[in-house]
Amino acid sequence: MWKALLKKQFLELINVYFPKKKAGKKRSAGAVAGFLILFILIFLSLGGSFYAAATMLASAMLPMGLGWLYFALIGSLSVFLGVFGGVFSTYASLYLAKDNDLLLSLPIPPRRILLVRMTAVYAAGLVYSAVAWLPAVICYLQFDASVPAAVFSLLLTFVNAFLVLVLSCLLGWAVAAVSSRLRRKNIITMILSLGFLAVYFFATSRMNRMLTGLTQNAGKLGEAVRGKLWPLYQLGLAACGKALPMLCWCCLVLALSLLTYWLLSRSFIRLATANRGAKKAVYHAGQSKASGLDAALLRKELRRFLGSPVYMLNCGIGVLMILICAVMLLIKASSIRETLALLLRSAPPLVKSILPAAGVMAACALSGLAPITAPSVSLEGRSLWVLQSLPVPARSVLRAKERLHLLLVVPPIVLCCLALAFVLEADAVSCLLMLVCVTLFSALLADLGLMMNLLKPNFTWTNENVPVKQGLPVVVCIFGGWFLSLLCLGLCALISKALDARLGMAAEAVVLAALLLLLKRWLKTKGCRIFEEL
Amino acid sequence: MLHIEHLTKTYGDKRAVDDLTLHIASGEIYGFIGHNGAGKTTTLKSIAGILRFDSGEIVIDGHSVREAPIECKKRIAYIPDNPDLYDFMTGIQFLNFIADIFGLSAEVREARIAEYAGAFELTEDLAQPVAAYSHGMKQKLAMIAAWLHEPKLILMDEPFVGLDPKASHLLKTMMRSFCDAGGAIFFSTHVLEVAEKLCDKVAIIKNGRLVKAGTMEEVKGDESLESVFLELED
Repeated sequence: MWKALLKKQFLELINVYFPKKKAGKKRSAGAVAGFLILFILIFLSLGGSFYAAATMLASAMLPMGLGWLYFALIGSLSVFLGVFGGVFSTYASLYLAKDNDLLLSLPIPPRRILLVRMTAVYAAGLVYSAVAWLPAVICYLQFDASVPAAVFSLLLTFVNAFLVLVLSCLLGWAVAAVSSRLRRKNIITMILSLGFLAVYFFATSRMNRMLTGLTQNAGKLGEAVRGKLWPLYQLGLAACGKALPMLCWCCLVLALSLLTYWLLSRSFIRLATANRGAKKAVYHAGQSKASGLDAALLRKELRRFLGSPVYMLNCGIGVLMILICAVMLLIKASSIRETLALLLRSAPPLVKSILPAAGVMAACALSGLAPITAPSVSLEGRSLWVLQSLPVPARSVLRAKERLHLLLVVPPIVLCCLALAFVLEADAVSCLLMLVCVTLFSALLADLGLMMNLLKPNFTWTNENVPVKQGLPVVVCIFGGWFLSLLCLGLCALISKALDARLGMAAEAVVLAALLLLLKRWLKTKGCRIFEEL
Repeated sequence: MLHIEHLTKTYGDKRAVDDLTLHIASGEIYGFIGHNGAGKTTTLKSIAGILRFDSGEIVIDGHSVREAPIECKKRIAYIPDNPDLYDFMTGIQFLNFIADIFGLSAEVREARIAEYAGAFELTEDLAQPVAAYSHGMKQKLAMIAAWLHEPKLILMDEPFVGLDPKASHLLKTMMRSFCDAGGAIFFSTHVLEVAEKLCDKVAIIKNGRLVKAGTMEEVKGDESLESVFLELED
């Protein structure tokens, strides 16, 4: 039974990243290898930034003999990241899977269903926490390459992921417990998730100050942690290769994991089968309003977006960040100007001239965090037949998905762009070029997401996390967006150096427009054909 | 109304539908029976324009499904065996979505929703999210959506599964009235008694090939439809 359940979970995971396009067609080895290389590259690029932060900490702490504090801090960070990575999905993964009824009807103890689903949460937590932990281990081993330290610190990658599991599951359980009593569970999921996000961004915005503070006050901090946070002290010592602390830490994590499992298994059936929507809404005639085909399709897309906290939070977070960015730019305009003036005092003129383009591309990179179209085809799921059986051209369906993206992303990014132009005191032509670039970039990202999802659709998901959070189109869209914004900035810098910064931005706009036209043409022809044949 | 000529559809090496030819006229309720995996759903999905077929031709009211799929879809309604509707919409939002797609005015849709939802006793539940509907309620909502735009041809895959006896009786009455008013219905079923009583014509499919088709009398003669079906299956 265990084997069968784990195999099901494993197949589900495999299908997320390597979905079969159609029954009977094998995945090509080249495609599998390509995806693997892409994931490794993403892992390495994220790991690189954590390696840089770890080096800063290590150079300050290790010479003072505070290796344990170094690991205690990195361990806390990696666990935090692991929990953050799973915060939007644990509730859905544990309690809202579409195979709930099927599995509960089979002779499987519910606690086993829970345990198998927890393995998926563990796997996600392992990946997220390892991104921060492993670079720190590599960094540490350059200072102390002893065998116990190497073995224990690597083993702790897997042990710490259990702590991530514990915290993620408790959070998911809390959301499930509260939302089972509410009619609109979306609200509580949104509030909790946004609250968590706010804490995360507050912490990351102060990361530099925190790191500096930590390196300057490492000795005092070490004393405080040793005295008041005994488990973290044990974790630090364990990672440095001490056997007894390793045993203590493992026992502690194991005990917490078992306790969490026991706690969750007691309420699993009740929460997984909770009847949400206790108060019944009654329909009264006379509420209907007629609208056109395009408006109906757009409204449908908007309803799907607003009706799914998972979709909204994972693909709409970029929109929120752009808005926050725009507001912050306006509020802090004068201090940003002063800081920039100070920083750019001795900078070459080229840097000053491409500042608007750099700002625009930063805003564009932020909009990459709103890959709204990327899971939109997969989200049709088993109800795809509705659109396919209706007299709706495929182009209209795809256009509605694209329009939703533009509707949600373009207004905030234009606002952000105007705020940026205000801060940088850009002239009218530069401001216009900035607006053109961000609008084109947003449209391009919308079409890129659609194209990727048409090429790699997944209709067999058991919960929305699969296409929204873990799907390949989303990954490609986010990182592709970042990559593209860097390329554009590079192009702009080259042309600015040779000619003029405004020409650089104009060239950027031309390239974006050309790419957009190509994508639009593809969607209009091949994209529509693919959608009709899905 | 519906002309299927030499329809063939394969999945890999398997021929799901093999050289199927059928003609359905206005006013006819045409039953489609066969064992599981015989090719009924594939045929219905091909007619509805959901599946691309390999060869043959399907013509609905003079329009080819291959050449003019949108024109065909304007004239039909399709109800699958397991109607997975939009869980993120309420019942009324779903019906309004369908009405918008078919360009129905607010007055016309209000009147039809009132009529059909009232008949299926679903009016009060229309404000509920589809996610909260039972299988039977989803089936009823799909029926209302199908009748909403007054199609010329209705395709149904196992329409009686999940319906309560009252709704089942109502559906049979609606099917008869629809065809008496000039519409046509092509539906698959495993309930042979229903097919025998309700259908004007019936087709039996086995391993993708049509084995018998015609009026009920032509197909079953003096025997019951069940015994004819079982004989053909052996």
